[in-house]
Amino acid sequence: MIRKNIKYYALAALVIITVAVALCLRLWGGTETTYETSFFAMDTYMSVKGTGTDAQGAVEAVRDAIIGLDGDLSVTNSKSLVYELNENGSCTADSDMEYLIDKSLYAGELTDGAFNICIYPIMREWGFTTGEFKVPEASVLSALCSNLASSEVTSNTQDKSVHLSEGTMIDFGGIAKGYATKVAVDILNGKYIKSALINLGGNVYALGKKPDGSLWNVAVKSPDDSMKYLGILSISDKAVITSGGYERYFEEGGVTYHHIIDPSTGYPADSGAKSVTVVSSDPTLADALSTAIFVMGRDKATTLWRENSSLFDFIYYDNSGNLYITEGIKDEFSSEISFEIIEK
Amino acid sequence: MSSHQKSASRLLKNDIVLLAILVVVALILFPIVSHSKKPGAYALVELDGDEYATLSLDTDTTLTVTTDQGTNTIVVHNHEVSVESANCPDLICVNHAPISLTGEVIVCLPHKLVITIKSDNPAKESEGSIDAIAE
Repeated sequence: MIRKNIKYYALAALVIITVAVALCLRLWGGTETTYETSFFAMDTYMSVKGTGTDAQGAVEAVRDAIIGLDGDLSVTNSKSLVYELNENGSCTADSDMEYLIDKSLYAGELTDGAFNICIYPIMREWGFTTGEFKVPEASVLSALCSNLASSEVTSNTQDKSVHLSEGTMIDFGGIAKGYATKVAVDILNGKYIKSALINLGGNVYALGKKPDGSLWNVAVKSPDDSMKYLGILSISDKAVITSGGYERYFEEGGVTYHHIIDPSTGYPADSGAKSVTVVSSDPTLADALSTAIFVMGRDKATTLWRENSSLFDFIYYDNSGNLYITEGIKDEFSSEISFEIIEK
Repeated sequence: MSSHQKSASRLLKNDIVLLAILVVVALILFPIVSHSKKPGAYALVELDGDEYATLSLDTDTTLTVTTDQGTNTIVVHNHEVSVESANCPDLICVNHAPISLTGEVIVCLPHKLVITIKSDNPAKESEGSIDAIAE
């Protein structure tokens, strides 16, 4: 009988020892952990991975922030601020909308209108927003384009009010994921996360370096079946954002219509670009520029880059299979195919 | 000490030794057992965040996934995974090029279906490998 009791004590001691050993391992093994989460938001699949002392707290804070942002920016969600703005023609901006309008107007100026958030009515007409694709009547598109040309978004920095001119409707779709990336990076920095990888539906941001101290390797997907990647970037603290018609398109009458609409024509951009990737420490700008450069084509993009080479770099793959990169990333980029370096 | 107490303490000592050995064996076996999944690369199919199936890339196979959300037919062929057909409205999953490298993903958003290529072999994912794909 005495033996039985001792056996129970021994078992209890065993459990305590095991727990103590586990705790010690946890402490001696260093206090940094890596935590990753994946979720759906902004119409796409997202994943965030971070390494730090409170990796789980930080990563989950990012997830919650992005899901909240999604609700706030959605054009179709009747509770969103953007919906209110489009319905009423005006609203009081919150800090997110303030930043987005500011950045969008700036990107629009930089790119001579190739990036334009007022493109929403045209996108809707094509069915890219609903999935009910159709080729619009030329007369309808023409009217929508004139409407776009006269669309105005004005914001008042004092009372934060935003006004849309008659017939204007906006959509932050071409810049929202980039902004969500910025929000994510700010949260991670605020929580002392020095190493993270953010992937918002293919919009990648590499924060710091990998836990082992090496640079993050981000591949740029190839639009062709003949090869997996256009190349690989070895980077730190940079966003890598790609735009290509191949990402979303429909076919009608034997013709392929992709989703990157040229605001000046109302039709899918036809500048010769097949895939454009922008690399920048500013993810919001990178998102807007990747769409804009696809619309602008290589020559105009090169001119833009030469005037702003400290802000971004880009990778340009055209319909003839030629690959170009701007010289700012020539030390970070490697590829199995040949490419030309665009110099300042 | 009486002979009864002497033998009791020896028995107790033996019990403790036995338990200690069992603990050590368990600690050694646990990590081995928990990693005994399929070797090499495989496709992880998730529905609404929950694991639904794993498909080895070594074997050609067709898997049709039907849920309240809809139907997707996933094909493993020549070490690549693709979605052969689906009844979602945008068909982005069907239009997506076949995937085969660790980390690549095909998503059917309307059906909440996610297919990810995974590798159990850490050596394959070491230096020089890709951390993310911008697309």
